[in-house]
Order: sequence, then structure tokens, then C-alpha cells
Amino acid sequence: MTASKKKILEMLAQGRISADDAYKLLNAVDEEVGGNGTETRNEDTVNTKREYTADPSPANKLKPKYLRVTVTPREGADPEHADRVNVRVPMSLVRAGLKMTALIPPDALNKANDALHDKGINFDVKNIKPEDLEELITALGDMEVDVETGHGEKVKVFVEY
Amino acid sequence: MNWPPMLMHVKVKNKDTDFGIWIPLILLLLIAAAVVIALSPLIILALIIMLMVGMERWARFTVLSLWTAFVSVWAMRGLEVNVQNSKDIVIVSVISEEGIGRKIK
Repeated sequence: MTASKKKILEMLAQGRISADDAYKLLNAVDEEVGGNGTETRNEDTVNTKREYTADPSPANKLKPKYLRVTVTPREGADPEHADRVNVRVPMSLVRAGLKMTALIPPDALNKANDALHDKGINFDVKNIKPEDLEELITALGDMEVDVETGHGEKVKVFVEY
Repeated sequence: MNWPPMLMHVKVKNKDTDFGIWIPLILLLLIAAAVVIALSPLIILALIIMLMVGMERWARFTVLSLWTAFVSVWAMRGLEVNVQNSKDIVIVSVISEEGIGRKIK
């Protein structure tokens, strides 16, 4: 086990970070090791996700790896109605999906534009460029949706590093 | 390096069914690549004909479709869908070489 991983597990054992944060950090360390062949992050830079994103400069920002959607039932919910959903979509797949917009025929784009105009949205979908999509995916890293339904179900949409 | 997906595990479990299958995606990718390479003269010929008769849009669509299909399968590495309730469990996960290595460790 590497020093960073040990440190993360110690932080988890001490209750300084949540299991979720520890999972994200271990993934980040794995990515670092996988990418460079050697572990380059020193122990001092092992922080929680919030601390990682505190510095918004591109150099210090990790690349989003997965888009996660989870639905968890409320505690003590009737097991008959306790649906659980856990979806992890690689960002590369999101990127590939967005690039498929190039396959949409121009007529369909015109129809989409007309529909948007009818709803009062003045936006031309033909103007979306590959660079914009890349920017959109990068911006997804800051997104976190947390919804609690009336039945106590929790829906979370977030990005994993 | 961006590894290709190696295996896809699909599992469906309910009171009547307990079904699980491991699909060797890497083999399917290799077979698909071999088929595309083998058919490439025909594909190129078809593209040339399309361009000559003024069907540029269809030629572009064909090339983009082939490319996005390949890229989409390649990008599936790490995909995980897990839906369960009291009666049914559906799990789909795509595992890469890294993932297999991690499991062995």
C-alpha cells in the first residue's frame, strides 16, 4: 500500500473524512499512479475533494472521471418500495455521446431551434462547437445536485474524480 | 493510456431468473475492427460513389457513424449501472484491464 493510500485510510479511521471522500481520494491516487507509473503526489497534498477544488486554477484542478447518479431510499423505508440506483458513467462516454450531436441531421436541428423559439428561448443549437462541449464537460466538475423527495428518497448527481 | 474495455458483466436477478453473463468486449472490438478492415475496400468504394453522385451528407454520416460507434464502445470503460429493489437486481458493469488487475490484487 502506498503512503498516500495509508494516509487516506488513517483519515477515514479517525473520522476526519467520510467514506465517500475516502473513495474519491483513493480513486484519485489510483489515477495518479496509473497515469505516471509512479506516485507523484506527496502526503501533504492529500486533502478532501472540497480542498482540491478550493483552488480553481486549471493546474490544481483534477479532471472529472465519472458522472455518478445515485438514488437511495430513506432509512427504515418499506423494503418493498426501497429502490436503489447507482449509475457511474465515464466522462469519456459522456464526451462521446455529446459528440454524436454531429450525426443529427440539419433538419432536426432546425426543428429543435424552432421549438426553442416557441418556448421563448433564443438559442441556436447549431452554434454548439466541440470546444464548447469540452468546456461544458469541464464545468460539470463543479456540479452537484442533491434532491430529497417527499418520501425521503435521496437523489444525488455528482462528479467523481 | 486509455485502456479499452475488456469485459462486460450483465447480471439480472429476480425470483424467476438468476442470469449473469460475461461478455468479452475486447474480443468483440477486435472482431469488429477486423471486419471493418476486411470490408474497407467496399466501404471506400461506396463512399467514393456517394461523393460522386452528390450524396456527401450520407458519406459523412457513414464515416461519423462508424467512428462514433467505435469511440463509444471504447469509452464504456468504467461504466456501471446498478439498479435494485426488493424483487429485482440489474447490474451492468464494464471492466478494463486496470479493473481486472485491481480485482486480482
